[in-house]
Amino acid sequence: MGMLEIQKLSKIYNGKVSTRALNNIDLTIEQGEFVGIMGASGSGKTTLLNMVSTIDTPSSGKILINNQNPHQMKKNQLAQFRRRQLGFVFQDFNLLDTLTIAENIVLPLTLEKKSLKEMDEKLKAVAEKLGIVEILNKRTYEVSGGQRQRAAIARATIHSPVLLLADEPTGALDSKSSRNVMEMMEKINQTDGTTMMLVTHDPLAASYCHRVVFIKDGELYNEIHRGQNRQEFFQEIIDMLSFLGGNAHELSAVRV
Amino acid sequence: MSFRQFAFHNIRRNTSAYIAYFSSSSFAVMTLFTYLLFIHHPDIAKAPLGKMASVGMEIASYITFIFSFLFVLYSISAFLRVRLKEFGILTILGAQRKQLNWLIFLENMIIGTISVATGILGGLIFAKLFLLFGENVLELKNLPMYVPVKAIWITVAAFMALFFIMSSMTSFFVRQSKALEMLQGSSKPKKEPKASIWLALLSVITLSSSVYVIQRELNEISILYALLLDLIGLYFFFTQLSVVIIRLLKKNRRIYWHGINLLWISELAYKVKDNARMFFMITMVTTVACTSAGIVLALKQQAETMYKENPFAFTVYSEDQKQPVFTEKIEQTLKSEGIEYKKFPIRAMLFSLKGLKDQNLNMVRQSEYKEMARSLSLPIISLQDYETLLIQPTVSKKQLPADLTQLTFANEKLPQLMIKKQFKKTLIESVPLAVVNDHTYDQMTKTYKNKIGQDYYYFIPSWNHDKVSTSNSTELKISTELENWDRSINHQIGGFILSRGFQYQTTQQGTNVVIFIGLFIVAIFSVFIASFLYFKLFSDLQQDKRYYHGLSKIGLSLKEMKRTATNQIALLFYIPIFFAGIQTMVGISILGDVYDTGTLTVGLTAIGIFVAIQTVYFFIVRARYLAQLKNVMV
Repeated sequence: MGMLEIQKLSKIYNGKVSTRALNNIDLTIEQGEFVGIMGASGSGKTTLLNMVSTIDTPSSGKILINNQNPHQMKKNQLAQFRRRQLGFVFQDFNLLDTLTIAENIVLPLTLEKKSLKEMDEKLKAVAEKLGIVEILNKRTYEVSGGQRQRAAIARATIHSPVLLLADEPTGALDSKSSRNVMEMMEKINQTDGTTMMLVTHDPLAASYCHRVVFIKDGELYNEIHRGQNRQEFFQEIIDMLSFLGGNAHELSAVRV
Repeated sequence: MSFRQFAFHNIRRNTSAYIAYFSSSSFAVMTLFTYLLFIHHPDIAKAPLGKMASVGMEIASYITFIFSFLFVLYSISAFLRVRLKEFGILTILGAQRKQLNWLIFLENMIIGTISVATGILGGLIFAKLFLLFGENVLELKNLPMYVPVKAIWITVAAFMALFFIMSSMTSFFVRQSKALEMLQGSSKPKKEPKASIWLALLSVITLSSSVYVIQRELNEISILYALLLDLIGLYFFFTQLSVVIIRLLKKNRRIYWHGINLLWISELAYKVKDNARMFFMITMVTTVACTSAGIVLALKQQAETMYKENPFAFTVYSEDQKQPVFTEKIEQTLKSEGIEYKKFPIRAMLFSLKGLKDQNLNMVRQSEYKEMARSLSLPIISLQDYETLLIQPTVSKKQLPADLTQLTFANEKLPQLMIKKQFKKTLIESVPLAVVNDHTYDQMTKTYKNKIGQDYYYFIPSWNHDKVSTSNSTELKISTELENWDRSINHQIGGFILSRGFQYQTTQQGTNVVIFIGLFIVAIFSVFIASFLYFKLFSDLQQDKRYYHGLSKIGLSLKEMKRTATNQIALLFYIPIFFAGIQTMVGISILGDVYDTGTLTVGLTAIGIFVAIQTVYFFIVRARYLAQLKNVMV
């Protein structure tokens, strides 16, 4: 039994013209696995992520996270589930401008009304791991994008979630910061054994995964596993992308 | 699409944002129009109270206009800030600054014209109702409806001028000149509010010295000083001290890092700093309104108590007892109406007491008191020389201590008097009354003999004064008749008639006028506050939506969002009222000493009513705001 089980998942958006965004997806992510989801714009990868994030509901099929089905929960229960079991990293960081970096990071714990001692300990541990100790008392607009994303990763992992979901975490970063952020994610995956699911356009980011799943027009298209060499894996991903959609550079553009 | 159409569509499609601005403007127009309708009513000038009312309304109409001016100013500037991004896009598309200003001008003029039209229309619809209401409160005879050409003309001119001036000042509001700055607009993260410790300290010092100044001494100058210090203190309280306090609150992580506190306390510093000036203004105006309401209502209440407590329907004061004009007139009038009465001649002498500031006392003969006591069934005791029966009024604040055993006079030649017995009853004016035997009275008043006036008190058993009499009662009819006669005769004669009914009636009508006018001012003021707060909230809505959407994704539940947002809105609504409440209580408890009855309760009632009105608005605004945010919660 995997940490994340997706069974026969479909999503249809009803409108004047119904669109089938996802069709019959089956995917299992094991405990401690780091999986990337790739695909062209409109392929359905964000829809898939939203469904796993529990912020959208499937039309048919089932999602089990840690053997629980979040889509059967009530709204308030669901919010609690999200903040206890899941961690989120977004393209635009989603940090609050009114709070300091430290306050942003402890936010999930504060909402749970944890003790100050516990919050301080966890904050210290996670900040050291991600190398953001010196910016803890700064404001979000006083630090760089890479630092902001690391703070967001700290917030997403401070409560030790069973599943970390990342939506284009490198989408708004320069290549150096991207590399840095991905290394941090890899490190957390290795040391804490956190299961991770990453949705991205960026082959470099995807090359840090154990496995990359490709989606095309709402269906699983292919998947490739990483061997020993990350450089080799990066090349494989590029090849796969150009095979999938034609030109490589067309796909590496920032997602709109 | 012409440029004019573009402006028109902008308004039509932004209804939810413009609606509060529009409806408040049109309410202001309606209020001003209603006042003018009353002031220029042809029959008003003829009625005696109408004159007073129309002067009051004229003042009220100026206040309304000033409020409207400030309101429109604030609203436009807040609204334009939200739309900066839109202006940025237009600039990128090649719109000139001149064209942008023209667009804003057109939009405001369209809104202004529509609100003037609807305001006057609304005023006309409710005009008859308002006139009826006015008739009733001011006890005027029938006020017929008329065609208020002058009122319409003035209202249109005043408000169109206001909107015209405001709309032409747009370049003053939109300072950003680069398209990029406009595009970033209000979505740029705001810097953490800063405050100066020294100014915060100044606030504490001025506020506390304001209280000190007024407690040490109470006169016009000290009130003025206290008010000035209070104004400075309050201003820096909202702009500086509040930020310092919130920062201190944030230092206490046990509170701050607990549940949703982290969210709303961190927002609070921004909200308070952003709205400091508005908070300051609301607090001051609310304080003034509630304090005045407290005093007006206290006056009204005082008049009522005085009326109920006074056993005598008429009092005749005359310097010369050989002047029977007044008593003859009263008795003649009463006889012709067939009303029984008892007349008590009293020669009261006013003395100042030693050691007690501003404390006076009336002295009367026992023989004169006995007459009165028998009719009113008051206790009668035998008094030796230099013994006294002390009767303290029930309504006055100028009470002598209950454990007083003897009376010492300011004039040291006078002997002390032993108090044999005392009880409470309002008899002659609102000062304590000392009954002494005739021998003592003659001794005490020997030197002043010629200065004592002869007064007559009329007790009319059939006039029940436990209930407040209505304007058609016999008492009031006769009282009014006598007072009118009293005014018509020559006052050189040396004396006058005082009737409790007429006095009561006059105060009632006077306060009614003030309340009548005040109600409208309070109404318009609270509508402005509420719609301005609504406006503020909705101008931040896009930002707040993003804020809560992000939080919702990481697991903020709907319940928690509602609680956080409710706290934020509640603080906006209630912070100024809270401080206005404190100030009113301080103000009234100081000013209340001047009046005799419980001003404090009345002042609190005034605040209570204000809070109630604001609470209604609060729930409406909260419901609308939450409904918007609910959509973004996933």
